Amino acid sequence: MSEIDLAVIKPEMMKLYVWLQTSDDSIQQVEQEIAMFCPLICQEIIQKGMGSSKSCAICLPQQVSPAMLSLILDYCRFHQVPGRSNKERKSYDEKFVRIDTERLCELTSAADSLQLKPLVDLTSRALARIIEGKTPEEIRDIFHLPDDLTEEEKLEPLRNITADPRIRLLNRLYAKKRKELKERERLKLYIVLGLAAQFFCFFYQSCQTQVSISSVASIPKMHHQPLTKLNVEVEEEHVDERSVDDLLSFINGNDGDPKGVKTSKNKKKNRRKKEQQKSSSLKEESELNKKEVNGHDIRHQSSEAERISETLYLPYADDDTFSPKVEFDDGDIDDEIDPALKEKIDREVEDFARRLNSDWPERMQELLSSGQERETILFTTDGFLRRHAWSNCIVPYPVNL
Amino acid sequence: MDVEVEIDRLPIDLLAYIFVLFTSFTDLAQASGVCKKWKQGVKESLARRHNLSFAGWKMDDDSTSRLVFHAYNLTKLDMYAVVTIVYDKSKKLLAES
Repeated sequence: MSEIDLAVIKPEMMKLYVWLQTSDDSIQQVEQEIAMFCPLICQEIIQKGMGSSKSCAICLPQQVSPAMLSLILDYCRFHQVPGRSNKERKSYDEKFVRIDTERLCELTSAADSLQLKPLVDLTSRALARIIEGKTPEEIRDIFHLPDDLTEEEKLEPLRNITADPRIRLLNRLYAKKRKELKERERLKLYIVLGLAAQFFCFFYQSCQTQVSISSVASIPKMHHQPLTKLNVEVEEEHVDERSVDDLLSFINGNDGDPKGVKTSKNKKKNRRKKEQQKSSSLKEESELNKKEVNGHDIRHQSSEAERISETLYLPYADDDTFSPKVEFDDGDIDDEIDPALKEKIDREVEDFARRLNSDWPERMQELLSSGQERETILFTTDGFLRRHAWSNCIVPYPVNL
Repeated sequence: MDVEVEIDRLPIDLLAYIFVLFTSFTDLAQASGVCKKWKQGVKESLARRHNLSFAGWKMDDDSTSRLVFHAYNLTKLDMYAVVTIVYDKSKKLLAES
């Protein structure tokens, strides 16, 4: 109680005892000092001058029964004593609320009606501890409460019951932003994966056994496809009908035009003789030459961005930033070269082709052996090529899926 | 005195005071599913709150908006992203502590 309140109290009002009337009309005589610990009783004494005699006893609220009043007064009596430590008070409070749920509810109600905030706080915390972590059914069993909620009301927390359009609009905007961010992240990932796939394809293209993984309709679908569903087909060996002249002209970069390289008739005859002696490895080599020039993928003539857009089906592939670079025609440049120099270049190319054909089986053995070593890295672990099937991807060894 | 009468004697504002002490949104949701009076008490408890924190809670937009809508006396609202720790990392942290 504050000093101002004490100053208001008149000397005749300062009595040792006050009379309190409980809900069952029984009257109790209580020490004034303890009784005034309750704000409601204090208010009655100061403002109305009640409780001085049995005839004008302070009527307590209906919630306060004699049993509850005695409990409350015990609490006040303990906390009224000035010399107690906080530890003692805490331990007393803990023991004080160790009562059954029925009495705890009654005590909470009584303390609330007497406006005794410390006790209300204490009992409320105790009740909160009882309620916490329990299902509605368990709570109903403990407190014997009726189940008066309809099915709709029970399911209400699952729906947005707020009629506030601003909140709904905000939710929609946030959802949109989240979607955009996810899309951006996915695109970034696809570009990185596309580049990595091209890198792998580039290094493992020159091989004997070619396994092409058929192109998948779209990347988002591909992620959800199980591995067994990917169609892995071994390419059939194609018989090369073209002459060595055509092949050499192709190597020179004239796109299969035999007129691009002028060689003597004798050389042509020699080449035809050699062609008959060549093994099946030459056929495979010529097949490879169709696809690559000195180990370089023909597709590399187009720009990097164009290939990525092809692989990823990007919606903005038509944009100027992703437009393919202008390819230069080599025809005009070729005409200005001196015929003698041209013949020398042709001879060098021919020698290179001969050397390439002679040690091709050895090279293939090396490639295959290195391929077998790498197989464990690429395919036994959850490697890149196993997870992502890219179109035009050639793997240098058989894949057992 | 019957228990049913006792708990029913607790006024809504006192129930709201009890529900304000709840630290978990799950407990609030459970309490609101007990009966009509408790449902009203939960709404009132939200109205009494001056601070609301979603730290460590994975809340959907509907639930969050509903809670904020009822908590019209808010002076402070904390909305932190839920941080998930990898199992191994959490094990390491626990070992260190």
